[in-house]
Amino acid sequence: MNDRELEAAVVRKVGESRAAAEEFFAKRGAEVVAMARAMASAFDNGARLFVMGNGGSACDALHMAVEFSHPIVEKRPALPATALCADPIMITAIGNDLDFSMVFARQIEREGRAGDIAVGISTSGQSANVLRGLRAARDAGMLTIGLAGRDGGRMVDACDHILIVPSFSIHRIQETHEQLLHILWDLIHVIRGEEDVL
Amino acid sequence: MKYLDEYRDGDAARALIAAIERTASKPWVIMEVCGGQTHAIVKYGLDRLLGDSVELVHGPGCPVCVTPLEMIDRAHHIASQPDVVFCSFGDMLRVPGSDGDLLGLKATGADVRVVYSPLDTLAIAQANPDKRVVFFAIGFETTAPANAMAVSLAAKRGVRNLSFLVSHVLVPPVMSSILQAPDNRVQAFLGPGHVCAVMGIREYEPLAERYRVPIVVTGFEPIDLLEGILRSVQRLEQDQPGVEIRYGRAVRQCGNPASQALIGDVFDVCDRKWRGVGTIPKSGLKLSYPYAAFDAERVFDDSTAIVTEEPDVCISGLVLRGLKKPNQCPAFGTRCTPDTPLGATMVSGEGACAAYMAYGRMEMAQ
Repeated sequence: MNDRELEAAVVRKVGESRAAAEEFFAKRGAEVVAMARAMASAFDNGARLFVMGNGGSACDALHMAVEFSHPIVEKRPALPATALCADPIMITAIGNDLDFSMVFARQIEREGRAGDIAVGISTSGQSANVLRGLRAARDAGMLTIGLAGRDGGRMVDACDHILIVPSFSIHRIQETHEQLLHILWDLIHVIRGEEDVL
Repeated sequence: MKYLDEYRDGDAARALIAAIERTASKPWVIMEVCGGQTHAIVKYGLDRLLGDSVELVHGPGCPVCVTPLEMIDRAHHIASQPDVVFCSFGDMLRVPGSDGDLLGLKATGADVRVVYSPLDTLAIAQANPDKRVVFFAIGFETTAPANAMAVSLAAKRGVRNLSFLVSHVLVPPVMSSILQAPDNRVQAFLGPGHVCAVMGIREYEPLAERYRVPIVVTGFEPIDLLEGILRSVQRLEQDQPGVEIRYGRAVRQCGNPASQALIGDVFDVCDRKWRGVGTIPKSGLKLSYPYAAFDAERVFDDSTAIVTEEPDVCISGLVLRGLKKPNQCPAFGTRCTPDTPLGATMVSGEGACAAYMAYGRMEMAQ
């Protein structure tokens, strides 16, 4: 490919990304709001947020945790949030001694309380450790939230609220998830009475 | 016989074929996914009756055919151990591994038994407490609930000398793999009726939308298949991708939630190698962590390397992806026959090669 073709590819890919996100939010706006309201209500009652994912979705989990626990807007309160993929000691200990599918569930069983929030992120909706984490959260009486792709896989049955980006491209799914976590953070604060400044 | 004769009615079939020919403005390529559908198509000559309006290509819906050679060899390795009772459905006994088949191993004295249900292995294990009993758990989503039930009951009853060699595969990922291939010719699918009876159709909707294909879930009788083909052609002519159920007597949109819950509890999704196709991400099932003690791959874990070698001449992989027909294989009907199969598609009762042999397609190979 020559440079002109590569530049055209750049424009095309950005267009695909934008189209995927616009289509998703146009169709799922009501569900985004419902999810934000459920999370806002949980925070009003003292919930803590636990986020989990693998690979790129682990990066999104870390990003979500820092957005909530260290807000970019000064006036907005910090909310307790932890990424369950952040501690390599726990991940390797549980993965080595039990099974990699249990790395999030075990942490949820230890840390989670009824009324807390568990967010699972998986582009395929089939990640075993995310699924077990969500099921452990549900067993603990936590609010279960899913960000998924494709058809949502097995996460559909494990979540109280789930948003599925109906794409087969991991990049497009992740790009929409990134926007989603920002929008959720923002909506939650607005619902809780903060000024809509963004 | 009610619910059978009407689905084999010749007049109805001829009317449907005429409707298909009237509807098709150009030739379309449709893949039937299930091996059972392939057999019905070949048995009743539906592919020949359709003429040029529709080309039916045969899909990878034969779980025996797609079980990787490494797994067959691993089964042989386990079955050859003196304290093992190795249980399997009958069709797996004649699938050739790198060095013979399970039936040959039985002839040398190995305790290899045919069972008709995975639940039978519970009784065998309880009756033979000094033996290690293993069940070869292969199949698509159709057989997963029964295998999951056997594992679940083994756990509840504490049957510790029973384990399962799992090689389950999932249909939607292989369909996606076929559609993504640069040499793909498939324009529509006859969806897997009994898989969808278990899983519903939700997983197929993103496929239909992403690749803009009709997926018509059909049954296994001639009228079922022809109705499915007609609807596929109608949708293709109207450029109307999407999923449709044409097997309403067995399939609901939601499938069987109880089976899905049991599968979800006992199995995790994993990457799986498909014989003739390669490894497809998240296309298989393995036992989940709570049932790890029943996983034969862990129970019989050893460092013995399994080195596999497929016969060079076998083109079963191309047949499974719909790129070749069985009678285009140079070995078909000569070196490769039901008595001397080179590949799994000839051995398995659901394999396309076995279907062609069974229903008189020999003359086309001459």
